[in-house]
Amino acid sequence: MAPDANVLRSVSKENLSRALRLKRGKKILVIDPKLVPTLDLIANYRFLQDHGVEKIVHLSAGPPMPSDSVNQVLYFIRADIVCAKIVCDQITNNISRGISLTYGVVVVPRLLHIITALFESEGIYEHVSFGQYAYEMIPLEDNIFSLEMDDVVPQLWLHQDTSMLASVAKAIFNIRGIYGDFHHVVGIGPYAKSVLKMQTEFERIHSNNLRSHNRQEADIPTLILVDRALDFVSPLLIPLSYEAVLDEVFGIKGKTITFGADVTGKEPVKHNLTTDPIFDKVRNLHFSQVVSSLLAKERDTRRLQDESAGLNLQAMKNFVAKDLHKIQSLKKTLALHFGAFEMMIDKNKSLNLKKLVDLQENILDNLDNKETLNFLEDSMSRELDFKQILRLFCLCTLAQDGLRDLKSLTTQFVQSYGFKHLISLHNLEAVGLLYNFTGIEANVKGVAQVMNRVASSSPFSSSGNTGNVKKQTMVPYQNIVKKLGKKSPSSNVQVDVISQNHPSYIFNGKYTPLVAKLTEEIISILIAPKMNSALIERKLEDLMKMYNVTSSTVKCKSGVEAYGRGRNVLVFVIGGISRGEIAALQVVAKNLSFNIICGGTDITNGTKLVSSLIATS
Amino acid sequence: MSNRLGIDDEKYWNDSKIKGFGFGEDTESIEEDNIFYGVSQERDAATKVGQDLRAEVSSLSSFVSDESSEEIHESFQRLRDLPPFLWNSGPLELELDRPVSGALNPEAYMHREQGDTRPLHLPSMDETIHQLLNSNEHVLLEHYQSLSQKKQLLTRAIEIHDGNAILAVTLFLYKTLKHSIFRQMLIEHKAAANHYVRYLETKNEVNHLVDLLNMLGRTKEAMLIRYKHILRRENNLQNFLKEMEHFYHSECQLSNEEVALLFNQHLQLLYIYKEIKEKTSFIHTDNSSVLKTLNFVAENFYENTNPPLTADNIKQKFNLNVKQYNWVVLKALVVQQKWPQIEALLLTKTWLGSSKDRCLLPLEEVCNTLKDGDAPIDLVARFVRLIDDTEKKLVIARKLNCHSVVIDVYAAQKDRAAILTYKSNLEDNSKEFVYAETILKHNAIKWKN
Repeated sequence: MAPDANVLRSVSKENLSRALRLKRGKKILVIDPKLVPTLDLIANYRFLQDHGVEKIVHLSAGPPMPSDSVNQVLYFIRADIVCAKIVCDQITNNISRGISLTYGVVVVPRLLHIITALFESEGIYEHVSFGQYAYEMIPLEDNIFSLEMDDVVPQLWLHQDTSMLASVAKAIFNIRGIYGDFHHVVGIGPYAKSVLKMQTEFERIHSNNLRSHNRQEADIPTLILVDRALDFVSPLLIPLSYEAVLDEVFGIKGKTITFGADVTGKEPVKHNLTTDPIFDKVRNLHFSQVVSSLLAKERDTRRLQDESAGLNLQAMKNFVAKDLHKIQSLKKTLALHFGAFEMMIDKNKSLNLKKLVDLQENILDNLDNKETLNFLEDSMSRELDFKQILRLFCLCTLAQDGLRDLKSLTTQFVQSYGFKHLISLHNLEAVGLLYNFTGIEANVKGVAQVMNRVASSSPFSSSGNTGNVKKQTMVPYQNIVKKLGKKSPSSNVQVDVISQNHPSYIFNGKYTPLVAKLTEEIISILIAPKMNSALIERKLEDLMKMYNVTSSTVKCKSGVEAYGRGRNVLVFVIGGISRGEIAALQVVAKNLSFNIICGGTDITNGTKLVSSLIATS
Repeated sequence: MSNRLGIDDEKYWNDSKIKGFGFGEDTESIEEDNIFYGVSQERDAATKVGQDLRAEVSSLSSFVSDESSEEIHESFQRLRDLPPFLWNSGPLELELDRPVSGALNPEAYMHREQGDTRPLHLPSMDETIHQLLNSNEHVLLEHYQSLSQKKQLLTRAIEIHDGNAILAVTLFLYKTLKHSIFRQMLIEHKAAANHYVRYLETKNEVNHLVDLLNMLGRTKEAMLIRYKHILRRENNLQNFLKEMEHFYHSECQLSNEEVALLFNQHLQLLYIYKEIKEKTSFIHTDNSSVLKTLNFVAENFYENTNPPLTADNIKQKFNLNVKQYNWVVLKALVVQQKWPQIEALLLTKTWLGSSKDRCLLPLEEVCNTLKDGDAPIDLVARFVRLIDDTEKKLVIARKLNCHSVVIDVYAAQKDRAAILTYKSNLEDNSKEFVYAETILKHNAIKWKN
């Protein structure tokens, strides 16, 4: 039985109302525009009104003005020093003009020391009361949780700024508070390890609390925490589940997707996927199966409609009352999906989906490198979508031990798209997504070289920022990629994209997302008969060694019976989980009869990943 | 191409009955497409069904249901049972929450009346770190006065991997230690250095940051920070150029970082902007790359032969390869409808004197580009003919309406029936129609049907 996700919503809401009470009574809410979509997922406008919000203003709209009845201002901003500076400037401006207002500043998700320090140095500390608001994991669906933090990858892996790590840790600690203590915890990767270490700190801080509210039974017995950096390949590949392709082409935000006039043939439409009557049936289908499924749905709908033709009056009344609306809504939905599908297979676009998928499969197989090179050079010369180019650069780098012709390709890149992208390229290098071909070819000598390097490489150092250090840390990672590539699925499994029998179906059987593979193996260990906690721990540690994960934590509570209250597992990716990975995890869940809740600091894809690392002008 | 399906060309064409007029067909083989997108008949049906549905439903947007404005009834009991650490508490409540400490509030600490004899509990190091981890508003650090305590505090902050704690302690060290000791601590603690670097970057303290990065040996980053800062002045070319010159000569010239060469290229590009601006109105921010500038020059100065404003000069200055040069100039020539120049640009005779032309760009894309630019059909046909793969050639020729090429392909396959069918779709007595007739009458061809 899946845990009740509504509790998370309620806790987020209750805390939002507490944060709003920082300024009691009527107030103007000045909000950081980037927070709006997130707060939208937690509460509606009415809720804000009920808590005294008379007016909502965007932070960019300039200093707030008092009105007859309202003289309080409450700011809601991200924990970002640039936003905080804007707030300071607005308040200073108002003070100097003699405008009398009182101010509260709520920082999401946490009030950083540098933000209060900024208000202090700007000389307005005494004019402001501070608060913080951390929402819980947002259940986008019953089994998809997101923290809606979209810049975790640049923060953690580019700037090595760990200030949001504590917020991730607290959100996980709260999951434990709500659903009971985890029985098994596996942290994979250095940041996952840090987050688990913080759990221990929180346990110490709240030890009194925990003693009085000690829930022994767990609704979610298992937590698997994974660093995004262990598998950047999965988000960089275009996955072929229908939902993932929709996301790649149109971009799914929260629960909605916006279709332009080119899809609807009319006005643009904001389509809510949670109320879509057919989406659940088609979302995980392999792309090649979508069209026949949609057509079948259309036939069913038409049959339902035709049946109404010969009805008598009473039956007709029933039909109008019950089915007519349903049919109308089905037809509208189908119209959108057909329109969207047509856009996706549109080959006149400069970079078509099939071409990109062919390329990425060649890259994974290390085939036709000359053709890939030609494609990249031609596309750059024609100045086609630069994010797709960068995505392919990164994919080549990770899948082939570095990018061949790095110097020439990057020179052509900045000549096409502007020298400012020297910064973008540097960022990708700093994260370890771009480096020169390291010259180890797939032969016996090459393998020996790799093994040598793995043996001598040090564990991930979060402070390593120079190229050399990065390359070193990426070597074991390459091995993981290889393991997930050709060798897996193992040769006795025939991947069938129609029946979706293996998580790699999303990549046509060419690659299994690390998180799906590890989850599968971890659960298999947990449900093996005759295991005790010590044995499980040892097996899990062996598993980590097998995947060359140099930094991991494995914990298993002794003496608890596994899966007494539902076979629920939370898999959480620090740095964002992709829709392809979610689809792959659902296959694992189905194969093992488990309920897997997929969580991430956000829901990501390759375009988002690359965009978060490019230079903004 | 043809062999990807393992089908022998000739056999394929003999077996397959004459195809209908599908000008929309793509070059990829149909079977592969079926595997990727779903069966083609279904796709065609889908297009039709989609259109019908759109026609039937009046508005698509009314469907999207609004979130209910009614609050969902919460089960309060469930919430009440949850542990208190879930609840957001104001600063005051946080104070009360603390189990041990006495005077944690700095106000209380600072304003203790004289003669107050109550014992004063300063937070332990653990408590301080926990307060930072909790992001409490008031965290006292000032009582960590000895260097060893400061070091220990920083180590503890780094150990728990909390950026807020690390940065708060680092800034405290900056305030309370002399420069040389502070820098030494940054060198010893990379995590502290990283957070401090990021802090300076967001605060836009460029000079301080560049010095620090250079001291840490991160010279490439230092250069990029400086460069990024200069880019903000991009709009004013004169100032931008001056700063880039200064930056290049003072910080890049002697550097052995590869990126310095590309900074130099950017500088060279700015010089070209200046030249263009003297000759014509030109918005450099709209042409902010080498290729865009080449395109501008090719569109406006193609006949010019005096450097610097020639396409060739730009090619040499930036060491552009054939692809870059040909694609950009091709686009510019298409815009200007300079068709003969396009032949001269793209076609090179093979040097053994063979009459066959060669083109270094992918032919399919070239043909599409020409067709999209309304090039004369004879010119398009000339490029279509260069495609080696017969199957591909036929598909593209049909798609782009290069009738003469289609007829020639069929003639080469001795497929009279195909020509007859194709002819029936051509306008009577058009040039292509006549051409088909001529071919059909050709005596030398031994027709297979």
